[in-house]
Amino acid sequence: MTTSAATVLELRDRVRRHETTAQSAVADALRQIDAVDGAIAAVGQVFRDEALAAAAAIDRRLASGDAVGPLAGVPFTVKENIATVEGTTSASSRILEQHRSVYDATAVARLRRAGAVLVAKTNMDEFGMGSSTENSAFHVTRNPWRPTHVPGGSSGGAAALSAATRGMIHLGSDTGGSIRQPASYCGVTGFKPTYGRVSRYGLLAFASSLDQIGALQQSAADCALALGAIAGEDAMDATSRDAEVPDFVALLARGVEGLRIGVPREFFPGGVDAEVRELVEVAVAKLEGLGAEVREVSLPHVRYANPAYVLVSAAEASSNLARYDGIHCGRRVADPADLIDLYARSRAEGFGAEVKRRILIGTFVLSSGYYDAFYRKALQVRSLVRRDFERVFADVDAVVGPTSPVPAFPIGERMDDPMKLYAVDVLTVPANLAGLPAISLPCGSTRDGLPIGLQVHGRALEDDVVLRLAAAYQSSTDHHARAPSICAWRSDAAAGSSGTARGRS
Amino acid sequence: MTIDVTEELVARVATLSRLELSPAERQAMLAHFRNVLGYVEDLQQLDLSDVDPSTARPDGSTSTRADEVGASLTNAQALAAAGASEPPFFVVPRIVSDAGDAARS
Repeated sequence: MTTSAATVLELRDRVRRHETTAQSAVADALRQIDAVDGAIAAVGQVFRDEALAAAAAIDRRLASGDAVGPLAGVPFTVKENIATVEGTTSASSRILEQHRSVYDATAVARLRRAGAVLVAKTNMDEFGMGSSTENSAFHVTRNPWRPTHVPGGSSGGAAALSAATRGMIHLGSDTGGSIRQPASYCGVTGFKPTYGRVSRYGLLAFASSLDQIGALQQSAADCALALGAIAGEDAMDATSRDAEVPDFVALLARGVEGLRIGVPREFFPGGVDAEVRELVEVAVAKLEGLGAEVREVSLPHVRYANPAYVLVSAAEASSNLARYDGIHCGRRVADPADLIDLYARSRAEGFGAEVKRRILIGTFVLSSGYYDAFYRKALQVRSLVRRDFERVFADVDAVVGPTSPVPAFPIGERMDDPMKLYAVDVLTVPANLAGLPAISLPCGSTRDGLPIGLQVHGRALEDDVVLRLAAAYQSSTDHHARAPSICAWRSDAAAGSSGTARGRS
Repeated sequence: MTIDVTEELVARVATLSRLELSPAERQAMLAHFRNVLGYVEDLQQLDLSDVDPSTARPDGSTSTRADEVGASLTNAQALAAAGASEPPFFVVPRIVSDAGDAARS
């Protein structure tokens, strides 16, 4: 039996039951990556030898009856901004092109402790700044459903690889939608946990008050499995939450009967594509049919969320990225004239255009004379967005809408105008500003075959409710099970659910 | 608040950011500053007089831990990623002039 075409849950169970081995699972993951990556360029580094050696060690433990972790033999990938002792941790930036971490991120350490095996790191927009993965310093990742189109971003490599392979956990990070938007564009399920659910230790910081690690998977059930392994308080991250980590997979069985769902009219502004609107409305009706109660709600300050996000995230980026100074780590120019020249030229050579734009805007809004008018004001608007959600969550258990106003767009289409790229974040940034858990799950595809995502938000620390809603939807639809034709594992039998199906169920 | 976005403003922010910009980059940033400030213009219309700014957690708290000495990076690990080092130090360009050295000695 091959391991591919399996969900992570199925693969985990097969290893536990000795129906396959960790080495077979890892070899299959490597084979899938080899088969698809030429077409999608999702991967930055593959750790073939290290992964096979780690898998062999797990198989020895299994054979001798020693205890193994709950994810024994499950292959996983991480985004290039998540620290690993293998390879480089570059955040897909020239400034960190040669940077080797001396420690693992907490999320990575927890997956390893659970028995999972790191196989690769995935491409991204430099330092997480972008919505298309075109801002990687190294290469452009392609959408597996249509290689002329972007996979979304900034976790575009993870999303594209998740869509084109099976049986792996893929960790990404989400600062303003960087898990959910690429998940939407690539037809996978992407979950951003509550802020503080997952330690940020070892996640190269972009905007510390917004950043959160999560998973991009075939299903909400696999997201729940991954979350259970990486969640929990961490002494290395003072913003991590001291909250119970329940068995998220077991809680999925509760279904949606009686859950109240709010649909905010502000999540359907004029810029939302007609097909996106139609498919999301069909999906909401489906949830209602499953027993949820649907009502219209209002989040009046959501229209200010993206401008506030642009300012807050840039301010934090300018502060966080000050550490890349040519001295402590990263690129250093040769023969600097003096210390200031060393800083200014190392950073000029190391950072790409979008990162420079955000550092400059962030420095401006934090500078004397402009702080109150811009940065402080943006933080006040953040409070208003939070209050809106708190008010609505007094009456409903979840808030749903589209993930992105538009489907995946052609590579290059928005690169000449950064404001056009910022605009696609408009529906995902509210969850980051409010610190809420939110998921994107496939709810069909456009007439020409591009996936569309439904977004579900929950109350802080009610990650389980969000996952439950998504899992219930997926238990009665098959949008999440469809796969693009480039998939290496795709058998003729599976090809029946093709990438061009409309999927209006 | 109306901001007059000039080349001087962009140059000053670039200096504060410790980023060397080419003339072409400076021109592109001029346009970008104007676009971003136009995009966030709506925020200026809101009455925020009774609204506190938000921090990362809704209640503004952070976790604390016992103030105890624990494992940390070794000196070699800390220097491993540096572009230039002379253990146990990072190397930076000279920042004290000969005159300063002479005055201190």
